[in-house]
Amino acid sequence: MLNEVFSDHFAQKVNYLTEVDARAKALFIAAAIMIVVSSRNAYLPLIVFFSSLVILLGIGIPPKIILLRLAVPLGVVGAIFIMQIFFYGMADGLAAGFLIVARVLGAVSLIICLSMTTPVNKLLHAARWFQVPNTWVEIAMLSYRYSFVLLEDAVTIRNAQRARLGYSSLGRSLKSFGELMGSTVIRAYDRSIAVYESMLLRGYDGSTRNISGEKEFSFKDTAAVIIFIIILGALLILNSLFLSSF
Amino acid sequence: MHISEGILPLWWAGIWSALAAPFLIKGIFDIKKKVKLTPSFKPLLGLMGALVFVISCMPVPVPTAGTCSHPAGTGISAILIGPIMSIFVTSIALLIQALFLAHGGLTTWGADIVSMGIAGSFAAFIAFKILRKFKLPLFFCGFAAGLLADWATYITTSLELASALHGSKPMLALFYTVLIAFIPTQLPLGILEGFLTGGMIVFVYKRRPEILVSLGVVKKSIGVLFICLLLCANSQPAFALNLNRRGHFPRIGDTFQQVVNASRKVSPQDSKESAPASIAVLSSRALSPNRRGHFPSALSRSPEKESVPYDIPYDRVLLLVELLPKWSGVDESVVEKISAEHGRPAWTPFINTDQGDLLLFVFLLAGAAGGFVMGYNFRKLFTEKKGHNC
Repeated sequence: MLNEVFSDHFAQKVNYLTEVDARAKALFIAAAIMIVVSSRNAYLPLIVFFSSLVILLGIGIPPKIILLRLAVPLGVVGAIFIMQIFFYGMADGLAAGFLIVARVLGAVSLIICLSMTTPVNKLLHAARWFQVPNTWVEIAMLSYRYSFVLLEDAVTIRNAQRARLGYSSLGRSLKSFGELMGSTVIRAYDRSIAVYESMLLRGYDGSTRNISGEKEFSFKDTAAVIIFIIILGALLILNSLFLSSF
Repeated sequence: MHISEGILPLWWAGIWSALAAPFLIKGIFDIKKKVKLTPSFKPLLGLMGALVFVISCMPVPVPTAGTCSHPAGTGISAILIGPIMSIFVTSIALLIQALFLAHGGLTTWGADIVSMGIAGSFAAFIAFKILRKFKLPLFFCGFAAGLLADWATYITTSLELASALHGSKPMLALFYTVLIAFIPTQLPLGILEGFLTGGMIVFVYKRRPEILVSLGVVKKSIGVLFICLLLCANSQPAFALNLNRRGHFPRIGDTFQQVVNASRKVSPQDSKESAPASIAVLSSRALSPNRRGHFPSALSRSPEKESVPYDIPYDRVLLLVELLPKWSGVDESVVEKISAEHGRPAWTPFINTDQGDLLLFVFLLAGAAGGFVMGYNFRKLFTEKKGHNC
């Protein structure tokens, strides 16, 4: 299950949205999230949520994956929703809780849109363009690359432990899980040395260089930026319309 | 425990991000400094970021809630690489989680760094360091670090939620409500994470102690202390028996040399009986702690010396060997005695093998010659069999 959720398989596919420049997409999603989070009523976030769902299904993301990604935030939000009802009473609590649920759905669906159309390495290159410190970007790239590798290792160890009844009781589970984490730590450490040595052989001197270069804005990108600006404008107008109507 | 995207209003998201920023900036400066000395530090941090991410992906069943939750992982990273670096790698892991698993979010990134990174890492690090100072076992230190990292994260998250969502009502009331609401999952999860972190650190210490030493988690002297305690336990009965009989107690405050001198004064007069006593004095003085719990100065002369792993005090061992009595054999105790009684005392040997390393040299020569002969006839001895011409 985890392998299906944690994968940039869909971001690597070719469609209109994956080809748009990562900088434009990141900026647009950030602005849209801000508008959704600052909205005072539930309509705008819900409109954003449903339109994001349509876009995601349109570019061929299976509904199961979307649901799996929405599951965790919905769990947290469910708890907060119930808490709000207990805290503020039925009428006020329902309204406040519903607004929070709508905001979370809208914002999370926007993030899913971003992650399903942009691989993280492109986003990190975009972060370099936005003057995010190079040290952070470099380590984030390494972490992103090796989280797949380490996860694979951890899953293999866990399966091996399961095959030997390592999780048959609570005590055994704790012991096995501790050993699993310990083995992952050891593998992470060993791999960091191997990575450093292999990088050193390729001329690494303490910092990597951005060899991909800055991508020029194509006609498609410019068109996408114009569309994004129009959508953001429409969202702002909708927001003010809903505000005036209540 | 992540705060999902969209829960915090922008105003509060901004405040928490501003609170997290100085720690990240400090982290970047520290990394730049450290990379100049050890360029392999960046790949290590990259892998630690991946480790925090992977650990926080692993589902842990929470018995009381009947659901699965996941460990925070910041306790482990704080123990391994220190709190500031742990905050730095947590920020990366949180971003990957926000993008891939929808745990956390972009606007709540700062708040999540404050709760998971800053509160969790510092709680774990401080707990671990304090308990290590008291020389508690590694498992308990790891347990406390994991437990407190989880609970600190949970309390800070409750504070963040309460501050953002309290509306017109008092913040503390909502804070307590959130705290109580999350107790069924977070209380047992904290204890579970404590066990996991303790188990992890003990596992790494057993399998690859050099990793913990190189990351500065444990000092090398643990091995020394362990061996010393073992030896001390062995030597203690001998010490008690022999010293009580001889009436020769080492005084508190005696230096090692004084004890040696005292034993040497005794040994020429009554060598056969006093030698074991002097050995007992030496071994117990050298290997047992004094009244203040410190080891005698001769064993831990300097901090550098103390930090060498499995440092066997060879100078002590040599002294012990030197003070051993010469146990007499049948030749000396029976034959020599009887022949001396009958007026035929022993001659001085033509070649005194007790002098210097002569005996050792002869053994070496014999060994070399024997080895050469055996090696030369190796095939005849081991492979060829009679009647077979192979």
